[in-house]
Amino acid sequence: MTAIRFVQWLVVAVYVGAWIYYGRFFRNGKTMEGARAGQLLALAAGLHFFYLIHLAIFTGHLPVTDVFESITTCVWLFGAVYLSLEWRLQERSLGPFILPIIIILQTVSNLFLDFNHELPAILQNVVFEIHVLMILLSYSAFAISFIASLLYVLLSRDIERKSLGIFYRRLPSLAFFDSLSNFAVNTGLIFLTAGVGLGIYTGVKVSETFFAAWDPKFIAVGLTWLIYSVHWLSRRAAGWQGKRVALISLVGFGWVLFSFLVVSLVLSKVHQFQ
Amino acid sequence: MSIQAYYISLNAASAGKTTATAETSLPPHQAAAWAAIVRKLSADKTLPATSQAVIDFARTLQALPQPRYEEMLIVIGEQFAELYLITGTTENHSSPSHSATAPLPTGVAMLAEQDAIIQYFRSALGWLPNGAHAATHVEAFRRAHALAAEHGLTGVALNRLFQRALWLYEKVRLDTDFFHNVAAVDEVLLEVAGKIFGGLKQRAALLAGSNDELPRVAATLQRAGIGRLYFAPPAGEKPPPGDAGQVISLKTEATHWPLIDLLLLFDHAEPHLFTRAYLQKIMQARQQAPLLLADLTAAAARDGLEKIYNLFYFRRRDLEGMVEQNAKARQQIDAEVMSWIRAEVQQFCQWLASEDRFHFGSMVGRSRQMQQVFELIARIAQTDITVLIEGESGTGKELVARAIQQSSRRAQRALIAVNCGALPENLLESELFGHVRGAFTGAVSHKPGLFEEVDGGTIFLDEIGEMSPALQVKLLRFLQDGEIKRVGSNAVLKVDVRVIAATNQHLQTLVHEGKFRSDLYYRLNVIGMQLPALRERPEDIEILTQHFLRKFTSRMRKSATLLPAALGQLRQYAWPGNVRELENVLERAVALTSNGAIDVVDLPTPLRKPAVSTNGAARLPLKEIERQYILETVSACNDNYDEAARVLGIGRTTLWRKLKNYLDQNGDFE
Repeated sequence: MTAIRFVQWLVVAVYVGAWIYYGRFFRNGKTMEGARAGQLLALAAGLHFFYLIHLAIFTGHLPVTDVFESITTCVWLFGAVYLSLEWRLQERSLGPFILPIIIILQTVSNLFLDFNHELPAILQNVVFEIHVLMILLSYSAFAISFIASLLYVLLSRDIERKSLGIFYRRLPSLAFFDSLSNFAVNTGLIFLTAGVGLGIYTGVKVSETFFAAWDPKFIAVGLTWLIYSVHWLSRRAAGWQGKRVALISLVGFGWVLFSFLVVSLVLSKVHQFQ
Repeated sequence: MSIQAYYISLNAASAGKTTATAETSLPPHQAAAWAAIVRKLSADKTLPATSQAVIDFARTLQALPQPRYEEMLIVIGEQFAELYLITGTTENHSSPSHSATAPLPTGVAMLAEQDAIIQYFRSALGWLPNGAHAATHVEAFRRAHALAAEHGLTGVALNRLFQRALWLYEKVRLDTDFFHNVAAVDEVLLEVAGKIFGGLKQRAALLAGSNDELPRVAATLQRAGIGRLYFAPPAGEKPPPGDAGQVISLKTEATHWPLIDLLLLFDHAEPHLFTRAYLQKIMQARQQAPLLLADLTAAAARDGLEKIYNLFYFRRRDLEGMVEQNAKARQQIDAEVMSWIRAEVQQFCQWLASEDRFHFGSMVGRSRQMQQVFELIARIAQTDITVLIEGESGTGKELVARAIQQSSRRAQRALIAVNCGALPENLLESELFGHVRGAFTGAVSHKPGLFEEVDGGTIFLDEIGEMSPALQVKLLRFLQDGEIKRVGSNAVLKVDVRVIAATNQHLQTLVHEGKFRSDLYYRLNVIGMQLPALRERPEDIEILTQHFLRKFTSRMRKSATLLPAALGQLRQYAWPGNVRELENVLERAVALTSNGAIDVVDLPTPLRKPAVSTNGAARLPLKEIERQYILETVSACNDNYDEAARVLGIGRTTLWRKLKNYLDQNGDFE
């Protein structure tokens, strides 16, 4: 028990270390510091994976059955998705902005995670676990899109001001962030659609009054789906590019964070089947 | 040792623009030769391309009398040539008095010592005298070094400098924006386009109007690999020459245009291009995708254009402002790089001042011969080439082998030393190649040989001349195919082992006598290394003595110094046992000394006598002693008969007659 507590805080500590190196790399552009940052993040993700396995063995189920378990799994997925992007694209400038999200969410999860919470029998179900994993993967993709959009806005501000600010000097190009954000939203949307589909399937099986109950979480996810569909449509049908779509992505992820934390915690009783 | 850098401008236009001061000058006997060389250099327009001219030039310089240039590097840049000359690497340079000097030829400037080293590093980073950072110059510099190394013009000092320069270049490239060169409006424009669009391969640019600047901007865009280029010259004018792009008419509606991502406006561009309404139409045509609009005319800003969504509007003034911001950032970076250069120079000067440069691995030597040996080791270590080390007993053949292994990529793997003379033939064979069970009486189990054991590493075969002919065949087979067979087995094993062989016999003589296979000899002797005997390099005796004294005093926890008389005795001795004998003599002396000062009496008996060694108790006729002494002296003087005759106190002809007699008696001097 104390061992697992130790590991969960160690994970946060290594994430913080990686963040420091990403920050230094962003400021001074020294390649070695960037490489060190990437290595530290990989180490943190490895440790985190180790922690998740322990958690799964300790509790006897995948860590996706309550909001704080879901958060830590989501954080790990997010880190892993980002790392694979970093290796694929050889671009480290997103790191310093992504790690704060990771660190904050992981800290929240560490603080409130209850190892011994009661697990309703109906949730011990593979389809349910896949449903949650899908949704979490989509949130990770939306988070990547959020960061890419944020950097798009910051870079375009530097270009418009004609000043050689830090974003101008360190970031690749507007086109890069635009297509990255677009790719992330499309991927996320696919996962979200699949996840919601599986959720409805499980819900209908569990309770016959599923659609009558107006589960707040169901509404929250529906709204998320709607926002990102608008994002997709605006590019697809209206051919929008640039800041406007970036703003939709920013709003969308804001809503995801809000619904993930607040709606799950405060409003939702029904979805936890209590 | 001293280092000088000469900076020679190759065209008259830049003759005045040198960073160096021209007040230093040349020894008078060199001035004329220099003037001729410089004339030839500046006249020869093909110079940057032809390496032969550079080498000829270097040979001319080497042929000049005092001071002798030991290391040399000639860098031919686009507008200038640089010469780095090093004198007195091995001895403490006592320069001939330069009181009489002649001025440098015009167009030549000189930097000495630290300034020269600073210039070396600047040149290695492609940092031109006008402050620009040119990647092309970095290439020229590296080519020049490779050429000089290939022709044996570089030595320890220049090689060390080059290693440091490579390291510094990487540091600068990875850690700073030093090579990020944005000094003109068209370069900034290109950079901004990159920040908006990423790669330009899929993008199209329209250059409307025309002025003097347009061809250069078009060329810059093309160099950056822009996808398509369109021109819209004012009525009656032609687009810039070359098949660069395609001319389009702006009379048609914007919707009929090709898709344009960069719109560059020059003088006389059609005025309606500048209006908000028209630009909005263009934006609509491209579905509001980002557009870079650069107004390169001198006119004042047009209002309202900034407000159009996804239109990035740059005026000439904006671009110039960015160039200025860049120049400010550059100053900081340059200052930082300069401080790194200074640190490097400091380090290099410390290395020069210290005795470290006379050390290589666990070997010590300041003589020219040993410096050349070190040089050769450094050059061949990285390869997997076979090396044959020849040298008398005690000259350090095994140390050389270890030094090669230590500086090779096999440094982490084992080095096994085998003395081929110490084991009987059969034993040596099974030791080297292994055997299978039952191969011979007593072979009760399989045993891998040393070649298998050391797979991936290095094997050192000492006394290779003692190897039996049968074994020589097996070794040759390994050297040719990398394959071995255990004794008694037919299975062929592939192993990856580097062979370093050594001998204290003259292998070529053994080949002539038929005792050593010639094919093996040539296979081993890919790189032949002759270790000089200690008596051939008396200038090393002092530094070796210091080295061993330090070693033994610290090992025996004693303090000891060598009195000058004893050192004189050490210098005179012929050292048949070479460095190993010197080491033993000093170990003994340190052990025996009671008062911390080693005198002549602390040396073993043969050293206490004058330099004639009679080798033991046999009484020799006077003539024989004379013969030995004369031959020893001649060899100590490096076969310089004048010098030997002077030392012996006899005439040159007398010496010659005596040597001729010895030759007639024996057919050989010995």
